[in-house]
Amino acid sequence: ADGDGFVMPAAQRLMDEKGLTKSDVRGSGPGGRILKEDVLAAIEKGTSAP
Amino acid sequence: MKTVKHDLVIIGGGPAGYVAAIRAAQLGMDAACIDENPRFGGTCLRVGCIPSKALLESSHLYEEAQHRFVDHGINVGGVELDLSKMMARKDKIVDTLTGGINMLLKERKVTTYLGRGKMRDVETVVVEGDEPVQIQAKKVLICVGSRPMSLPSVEEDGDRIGNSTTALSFPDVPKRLVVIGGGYIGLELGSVWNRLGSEVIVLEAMDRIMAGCDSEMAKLAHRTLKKQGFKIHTKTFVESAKRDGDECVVAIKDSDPIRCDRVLLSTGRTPATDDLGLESVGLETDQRGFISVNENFETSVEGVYATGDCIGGAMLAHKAMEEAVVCIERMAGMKSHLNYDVIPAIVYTHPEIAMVGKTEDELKEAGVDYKKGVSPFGANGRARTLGEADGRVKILADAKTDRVLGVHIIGARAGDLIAEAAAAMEFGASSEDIARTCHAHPTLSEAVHEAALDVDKRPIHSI
Repeated sequence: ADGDGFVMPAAQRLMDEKGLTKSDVRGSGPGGRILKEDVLAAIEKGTSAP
Repeated sequence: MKTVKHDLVIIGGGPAGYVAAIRAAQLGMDAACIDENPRFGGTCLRVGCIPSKALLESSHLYEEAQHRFVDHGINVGGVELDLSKMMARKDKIVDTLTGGINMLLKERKVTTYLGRGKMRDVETVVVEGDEPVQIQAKKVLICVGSRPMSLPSVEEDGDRIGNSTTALSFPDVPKRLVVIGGGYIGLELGSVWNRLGSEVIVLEAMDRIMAGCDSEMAKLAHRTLKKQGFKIHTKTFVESAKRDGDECVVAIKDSDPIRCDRVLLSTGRTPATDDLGLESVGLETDQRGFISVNENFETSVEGVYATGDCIGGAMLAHKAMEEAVVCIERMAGMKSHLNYDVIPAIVYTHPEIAMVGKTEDELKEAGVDYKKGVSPFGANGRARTLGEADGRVKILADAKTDRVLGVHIIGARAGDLIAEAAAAMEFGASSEDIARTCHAHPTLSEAVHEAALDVDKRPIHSI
C-alpha cells in the first residue's frame, strides 16, 4: 500500500547511503510508512538481481 | 416493573463499561450503563489500580523520608506514620475519580442505572436493585469484569485473611503479613505494607515470581525486593490458611506452618460472569467463566457483546478500555483495530517494572533470531540526580530487520518510560529509529535511547 510516503528515520539513513529514493522502496509500515526493513529488502532484491 | 428503551445497554461501569458508554454517546448512540455500585469506575477505580497506586506512593514517601532524605542532606528527625490519614487520602482520591466518572457519564447523556444487571432475553436486561427496571436494547455489551480468585483451602474472613480489597484497608500495620501468590498484585500490596513496617512473606508455587514477565527482569525484581526486606519463597505450595484467634496459620507442603497476623490471597483473578442470566440467552462461558467473542467482540449470540476482563486475555484496565472503544466503533460501522502485540504492562513496585511486546523467553521459545541492547540506569545522569541508579532498559530487536520486538524496563518511572516504546512499536520502528530520535537531556528516557544504541553496540555512555 502506498501511504503518504513517510520514511522512518533509520530507513532514510539507509536509503541515502544506498542512493535509493522512495520510488525504489515499497513501504510496509503503518499507513504505508517505509521501514528500515523495507529498505533492507529493497537492497537485497537489488543486489541479487543480474 | 418499568420498561425503558435504549440503543445500547452496558452491564458494568468499569474501565470497559464506562469507556464504552462514553464512546457510544460520542458516536450518537443512546447508551445506558448499569453498575451495582453508586460510584462508577469498577474494580480499577474503586478497589484496584487507583487505591493501590495511592498507597504505593504514600508508603514510598514514608520509606524515603525514613531512609533516603538523609542522602540529600535532609535530616527530618523522627518520621511518624498516620495510617488513618494515609487511608483517608487514598479514599478521597477514589472518591474524586469515581465521582468524575459519574460526572462524565452524565455530561455525555449516558443513562445510568444502579443495581445488578441480568439478561432476561437477547434484547432485555433487568436491573435488580432498589428501583427495578427492565431495559430493552438492540445491543447488549457485557463488561462485568473480574474478582479476586478464592481458594477453598484458604478460609477468607475478609478481615485477617482476605484479598486485595481487604489489603487496601488494613486498620493497622500487620506485624507479619503472608502473601499467597507472587504476581503483581501480591508484590505491589506487599510493598505497601513492607514499607510501612510489616514483615512480608511471599509464598509462590512456581519457581519464580511474576509469571509472564521477562525472566531476567523478574530475577532483578526478586533480588531488589529481597534487599527491601521481602521474604520470598518460590516452589512453595500453600496447603491451607485459617484463622486462629487474632492470628492466622498458613500450612505449607513439606515445611513448617507459618503464623502471621494477616494473610493476603493474591493468586489471580476470575471473571465475574456468574449470576448474569447468560443461560437465558443461550450464552455459555468456558470452564473458567470467560465469555468467548469474535473480532467484533460479539459473542455467539447476535447482538450481545463482551469486552474487558470477562473475555480473558491480559486483565489490564487499558486493554479493557481499548477493547471497549474498538467494540463500540465497530458497532457504529468504523473499521477500528486493536494491536494485542503492543499492550504495555506495568508493576508499580519500586523500582517499577514495565514491559511491552515479546519477552526474551518468548523469542527463544519461538526460535526468533534477535539482538539485545541494554542500558543501566547507573549510567544515566538524571537517574543519579534522582538517587535512582538501580535499574536497566532492555530492547529486543529482530536480528535481520532491526524491528523492535520487545522492551523491558526495571527502574524508576519505568511505567511512564514504556509509553515511548509502545508508540515506537506501533509505528513499526526499528531500534535504530529510536536511536535516531533526539531524547531530551537529562531525562530517564535517555536510558531507552542508550539501550537502542546498544542494540548495535554503539552506546555513548557505557562500555
